[in-house]
Amino acid sequence: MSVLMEPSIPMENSEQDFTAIYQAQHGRVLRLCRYLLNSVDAAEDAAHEVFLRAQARISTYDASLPLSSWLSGIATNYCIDVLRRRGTERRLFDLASSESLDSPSNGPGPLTEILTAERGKDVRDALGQLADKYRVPLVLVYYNEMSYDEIASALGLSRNLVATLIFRAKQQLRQKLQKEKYRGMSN
Amino acid sequence: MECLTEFTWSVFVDGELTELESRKVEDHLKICENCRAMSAAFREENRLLIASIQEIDMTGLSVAEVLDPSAEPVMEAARPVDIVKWGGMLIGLSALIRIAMSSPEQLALPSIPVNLDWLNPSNFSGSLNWLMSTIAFFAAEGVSSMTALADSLSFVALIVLIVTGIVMLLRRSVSRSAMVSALGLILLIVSAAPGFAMDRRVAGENKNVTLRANETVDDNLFAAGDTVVIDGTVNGDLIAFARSVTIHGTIKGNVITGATNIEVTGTVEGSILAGGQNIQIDGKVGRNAVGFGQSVIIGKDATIGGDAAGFGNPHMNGAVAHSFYAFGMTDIAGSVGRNVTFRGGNLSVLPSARITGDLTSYVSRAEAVHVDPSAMIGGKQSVEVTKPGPSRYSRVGFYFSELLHVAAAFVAGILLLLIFPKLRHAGFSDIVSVLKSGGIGFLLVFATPIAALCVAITLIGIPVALVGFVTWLVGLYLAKIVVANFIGRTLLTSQGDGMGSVALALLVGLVLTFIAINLPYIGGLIHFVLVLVGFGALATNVYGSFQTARGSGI
Repeated sequence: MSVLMEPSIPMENSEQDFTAIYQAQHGRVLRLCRYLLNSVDAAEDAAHEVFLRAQARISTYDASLPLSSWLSGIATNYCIDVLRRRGTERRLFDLASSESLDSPSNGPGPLTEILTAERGKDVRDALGQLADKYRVPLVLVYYNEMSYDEIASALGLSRNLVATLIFRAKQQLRQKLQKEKYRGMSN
Repeated sequence: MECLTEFTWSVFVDGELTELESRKVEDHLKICENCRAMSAAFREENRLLIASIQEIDMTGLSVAEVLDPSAEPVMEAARPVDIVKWGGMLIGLSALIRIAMSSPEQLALPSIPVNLDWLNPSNFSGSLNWLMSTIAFFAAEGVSSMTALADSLSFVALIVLIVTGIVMLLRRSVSRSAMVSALGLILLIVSAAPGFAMDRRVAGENKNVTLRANETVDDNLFAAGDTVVIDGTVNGDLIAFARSVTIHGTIKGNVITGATNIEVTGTVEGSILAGGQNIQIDGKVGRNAVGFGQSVIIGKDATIGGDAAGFGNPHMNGAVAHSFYAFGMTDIAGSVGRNVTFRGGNLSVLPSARITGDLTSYVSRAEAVHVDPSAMIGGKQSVEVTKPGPSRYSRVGFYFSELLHVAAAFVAGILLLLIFPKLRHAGFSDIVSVLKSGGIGFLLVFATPIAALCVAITLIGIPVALVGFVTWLVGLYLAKIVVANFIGRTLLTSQGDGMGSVALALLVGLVLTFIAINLPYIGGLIHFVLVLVGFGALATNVYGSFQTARGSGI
């Protein structure tokens, strides 16, 4: 086993080890759920459920993969389920007919000048205002660091649709941040 | 290659272009200065976005604190929800345990267990007993804490207003200061005892409320406790909820009371509306007397100035000036100035009975009416035999009216789901969430009317109480619809949100629900449980919708 890899779970001590896993990973899982579900309450319930599921299927964990990715996978799947259940769209990630790949973009360009380090909170606020279908892929790519292909398979979408959703998400984020900036200036 | 589209930039900076595509882009960048600048800008933007989104992992703070400037309110807000959630679950569980534990040997299904009699719609008096004990319990336990809470809240508000008034005065904002002072004054008047629409007497430590023989209440009196004994005089109405209510004194107004045992030996100049297990009226009632209970006894010394009605098993030994309406197993030994109307199982008119008007009975068989030859009946005596049996289910009208009910519920349901789209997906993932909803529903179904009554005690609370009561009634009606929607969606495994699939699921659910609640014997129980669970789910979802709306700054 490579030193870089996270330790595997010896079965005899699984109870204690799971507590250790919980302590080490709970924060990250909770934050992922918070981003995906956009609600502190729901995230706490979800994180709890994710660890229950993880404990139940710990035997299926492939020790050659990072533990955090495995947990993130469970969390992602669970949160998508929650969103689908509570979502009001028939298909959570459908684009409206008016939105297509070819529609001309007229959003603001890159926001380097207003995206300074202090603006982190604004970015997270704006992220929270995005619709589920835009927020989820964006969180998966930038927080969970998944590739478009991984996201596509997690969400059951085509790679192209994932690319479009992420593109739209960034556009909307820019618009919201720009608006925020002008509001800030006018104040 | 032409300059890149914004979409291509997006994919490019995420490093997700195919090898061929990214080679083309790189080639283009070599020759296009504009795109090179754009490339740098987009990359920088991406880096900042990732940093912002990842940032919370770099701090040791909790997610709420980092994500939200108003972190504390968010965390605070989470707490009441948890209390409701867990409290609801606890109540649901304990209700279940209470039912299961109360008399295990009786739990021989499918016949209805004896201790579940109150759930049986055909056992009217049983339901009344149970309802009255519940109301008495909430009245005794709930009223004292709620009035204490209201008092302390108004006290705190008063202090805040006074302090604000002083601060304003010091800041020389005279007009505002005057406004605040006026508010404070109003609050003081409202919260002071004379501001109440009625006198309140709520049992403290010893659980008893007693109005002594020499005491007089010049107002309406609201009394709640374990026992309520009125030996004195109430110049207004009496509203009393307790385990036992005894009236030896004089009530100049009306009496509204709910208790396990109700005894009236004194004088009530108005009417009596009483619900409980045992109701005994031996005194003088100026106007009407209406009693709901397992046994309603109008004693031989009792005189009722107006009409009397007994639901349950009435025994009428006294004197009723006007008409007497009896429902259930009835004995009549006293005198009735006008007519007697009876509907129910058995009627015995005893030798001492004197009925000036007609005696009309609606019974299932003629021999259920026994009139002693020595009894005096001034008017006509008629017995109408209504055919028993499965009449309800064999009538076409029944199905037609149920169909109308389904249609009405369907329209109401569609409106509900349009207003609260979240409810379309209100569901129960497991038995725990069903119990949770049931517990919350249980609490709301029984606590709301009590709370409304408590609020109505204060003058300003009356409109609030009315709104609360109407909301409660609407909630009771809509509760079934929430469950029906869930059943429909589950059966059709419909995830769809088009109006068509929502409507179809709702319709299927409603039809099944109406069939279930109309089943013989168990229909009542099903109905009761559905209403509790539905009410809980409705309340939590509507509450959730408001929370979300508030959270997103609407």
